[in-house]
Amino acid sequence: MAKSKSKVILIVEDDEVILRALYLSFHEGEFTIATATDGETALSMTQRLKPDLVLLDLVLPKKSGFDYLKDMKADPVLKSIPVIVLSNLGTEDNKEKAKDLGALDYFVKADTDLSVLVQKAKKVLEKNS
Amino acid sequence: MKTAWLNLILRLSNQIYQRKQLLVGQEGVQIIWNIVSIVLIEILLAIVSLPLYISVGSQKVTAFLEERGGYAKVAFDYKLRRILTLSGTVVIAVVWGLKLLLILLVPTVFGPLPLYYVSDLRPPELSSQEQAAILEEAGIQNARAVQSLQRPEFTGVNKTSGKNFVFYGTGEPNTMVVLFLTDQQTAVYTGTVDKNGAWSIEHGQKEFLLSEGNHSLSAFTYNKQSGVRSDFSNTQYFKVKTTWLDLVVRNVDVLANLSVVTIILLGAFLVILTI
Repeated sequence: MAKSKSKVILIVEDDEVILRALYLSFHEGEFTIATATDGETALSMTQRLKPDLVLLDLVLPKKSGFDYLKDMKADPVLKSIPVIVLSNLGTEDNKEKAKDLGALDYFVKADTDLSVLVQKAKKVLEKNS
Repeated sequence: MKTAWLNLILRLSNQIYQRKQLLVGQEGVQIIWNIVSIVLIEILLAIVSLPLYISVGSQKVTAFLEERGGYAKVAFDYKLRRILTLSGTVVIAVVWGLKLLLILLVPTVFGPLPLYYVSDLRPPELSSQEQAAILEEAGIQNARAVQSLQRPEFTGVNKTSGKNFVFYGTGEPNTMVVLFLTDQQTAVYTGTVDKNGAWSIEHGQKEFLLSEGNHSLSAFTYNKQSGVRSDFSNTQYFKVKTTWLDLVVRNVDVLANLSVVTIILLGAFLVILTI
């Protein structure tokens, strides 16, 4: 398929309903969407695809979002990939922990407007291009 | 609009997560209420998110693969069990919704249901022993049969408002008409022959439900003053037939429950396939 390379967003989310909702939110942009539903698959896809942005849930099967962040940021090739966390975990401890591990921003699902999240993703991608 | 809808899905999913977290440490009524509310939110989420399952398929998900230097479909492991749960919930909700609509709307839209179909009258036989027994029960057994009284004749049968039957006939004017209607048992009706020699008798299905199939009718006229009666009319019969609409409405519970069982079995089968 002869297409120029567009920005790739990897959405890591184990809840399929949310995954589909996120897919639909980002789909209309100029992004290419890849998805993963557990931490291990997310890491292997990150290594394979080298996405321009990762949208990460924290509570994941096989490997938690925190462990994914730790492993990813330890990889010199992958550590520059920006990660935005979108999680149900809303405590300050979790936010601080995620940011300490290298997350660029942190959104709590209960308070998140998806249009704001999409705008944030666009800004991050523009900044990094 | 679309964003509001997707935000609602996000909120509902989050509500389910929060309530599941609350289950740890709860007990008694609290935990029951929480489980009920989780189920209700799941059902609501299933309905609200249904378009997602229709519009977003795994085939649509593509990604740029560096080693291939182009776009390709990326396989991703959607949780089939969740899809089945949600789809099953939606189907059950739809089935029960349709059932409720059917119960509420059919009588409103179509009026009383036409439960029976009545065929043309045709003559069969009725046992004379049976007739005699009924006569005895009816207290007219002592009436002498005379040929001078005109034998009654049946001219028609109609159903009214879906449930009752009205039988029409002619006979000796200003006498009583005694009608015998047989099913598993025999019902006896009396009526009056008017001055023009016409009579009609209504049978209520509520009092005596006629089963599906053929039923016989016979009658005589009775003059109370002189204590005499006519000979029996020719025996006629009519057919009670259940319509398909009646069958559907009558068995809507069975159909709805069967569909639920089928869905559960199908769901279990598919889940087994995914293990």
